[in-house]
Amino acid sequence: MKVTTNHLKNPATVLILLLITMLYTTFAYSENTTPSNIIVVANIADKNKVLTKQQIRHIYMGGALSRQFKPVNLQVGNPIRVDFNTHIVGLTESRIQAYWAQMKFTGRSKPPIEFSNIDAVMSYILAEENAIAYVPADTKIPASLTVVKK
Amino acid sequence: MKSKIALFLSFFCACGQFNAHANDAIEFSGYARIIAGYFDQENVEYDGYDNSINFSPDSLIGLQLDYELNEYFALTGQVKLTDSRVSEDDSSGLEWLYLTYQPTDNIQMKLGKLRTPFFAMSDFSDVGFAYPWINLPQQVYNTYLFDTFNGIDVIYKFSGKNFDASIESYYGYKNGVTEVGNIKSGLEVDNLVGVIGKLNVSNLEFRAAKYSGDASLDFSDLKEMEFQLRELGFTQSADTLSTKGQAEAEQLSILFDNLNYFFRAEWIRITTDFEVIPSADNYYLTGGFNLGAITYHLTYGNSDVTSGSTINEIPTGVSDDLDKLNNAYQEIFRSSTPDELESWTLGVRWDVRTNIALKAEVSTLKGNDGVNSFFSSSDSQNFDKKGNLYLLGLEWVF
Repeated sequence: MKVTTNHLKNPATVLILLLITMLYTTFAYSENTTPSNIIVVANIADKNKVLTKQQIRHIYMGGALSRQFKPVNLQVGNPIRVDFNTHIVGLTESRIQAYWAQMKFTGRSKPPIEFSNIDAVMSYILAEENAIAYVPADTKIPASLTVVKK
Repeated sequence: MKSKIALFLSFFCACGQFNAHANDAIEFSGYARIIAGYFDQENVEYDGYDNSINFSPDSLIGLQLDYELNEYFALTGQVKLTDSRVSEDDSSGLEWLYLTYQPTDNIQMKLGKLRTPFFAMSDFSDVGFAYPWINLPQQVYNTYLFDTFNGIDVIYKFSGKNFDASIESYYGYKNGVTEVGNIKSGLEVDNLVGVIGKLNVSNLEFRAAKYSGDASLDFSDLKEMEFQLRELGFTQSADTLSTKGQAEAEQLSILFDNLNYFFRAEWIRITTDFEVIPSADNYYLTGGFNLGAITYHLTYGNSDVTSGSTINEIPTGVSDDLDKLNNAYQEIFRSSTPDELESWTLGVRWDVRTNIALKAEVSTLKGNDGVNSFFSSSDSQNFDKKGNLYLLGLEWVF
């Protein structure tokens, strides 16, 4: 699979053009810098359980507690997910997707289950023991769930 | 290639069949990369690239099938299809085929054909979507170690309030081939043992690993020469061509990343009992930053390789035959000579969608004079071991 390139004398030109395009596109994105507006709830028996930011991060990133708990995500692009990525995980969505490609194709762990809206998330965690999810801070939390991080 | 296409199609059809009876237990996924490269020197190849635009060295497609038997057991197979240049040590394209057993929440065992997790990115080096570069730093990821092994891998995970950690160990064997300098040899490794420790604290990840194995090279030129030298009484010289011995590797790496920037560094050391296989101390350092969906990064890589020493036992200038023998003996060491390389790589990655990334990178490469430096040149007299590699890539996971 070879293409001779007499007509393309300088690949550097192509590279520079691509870099300029990419740089331009970069500024079309803006970073979310608003303060966090989420809480983390879990369907667990211990009503006094509190989890640290680190523990929640690792539950969502295939760490040691990721099988004990069943983490739940909203779909990519959901502003509540962006809030969670920004304030708890501390990574961009791109980096998180790259990380899961690594985990998946080395058979180490699988990404959290995803739902399209908060109602679906709530009904899943109410039904599933040890399920854990982030929800907007003003969500009405049923008594059977525990708020593990405010 | 045709047989590979046939394999690919049959795999695809098989997956289609599975999908027809879709349920949660079966999952089909994959990754693909199309990489175009250009190396700006005449009559020289670097990692399969030369001075024409070339797609074959790194373009590939990988397909994975997971079948979850129950809560504890799962089966996984992964095949990789590449163009004709198969640098891997076995041409079947089968990268992974294993049974996973998870007896508790903290323990995971894998049994079967596995990718060797020698270094931080060894076991997913084909999944370009998972890392920022197009070409992983060659000083660490283009060494003469092998890609897969047969055996068992056990991971134990544990955590505290402010950290997450794992200890992974594996045991197995390998039959394949290895490339050292310009030498390609059959390779058998028994008692391959590895231990990997990983610690995550906040956005920092540390990884340390150690491996060893009893290796045996099946390289007929080497064996013949060893036999010939021994017959003629040059036993010390013959001993330096021994094809059995132990090989060891050590690794340390650190990764920091947050929303805005990242830093990675990795150092490896490979040592062996074989005089013909050089020891290596190789490393790279990478820094980068994110602007929205775009990542910019800069990498410096270097290697320090020490080759085994030859014995000056064969008298020269006595007879043509002895001179020839001595030349042949020295040539073996010359052609297995170390790959020393210093490089700078500037790259950019644009995550176009959640599963597609475009990448571009340019590397300036500088080899040490007198050694192979990953280059292969048909005109080594006039090649100064310097060049630039330009790469463009599309990474996709599905």
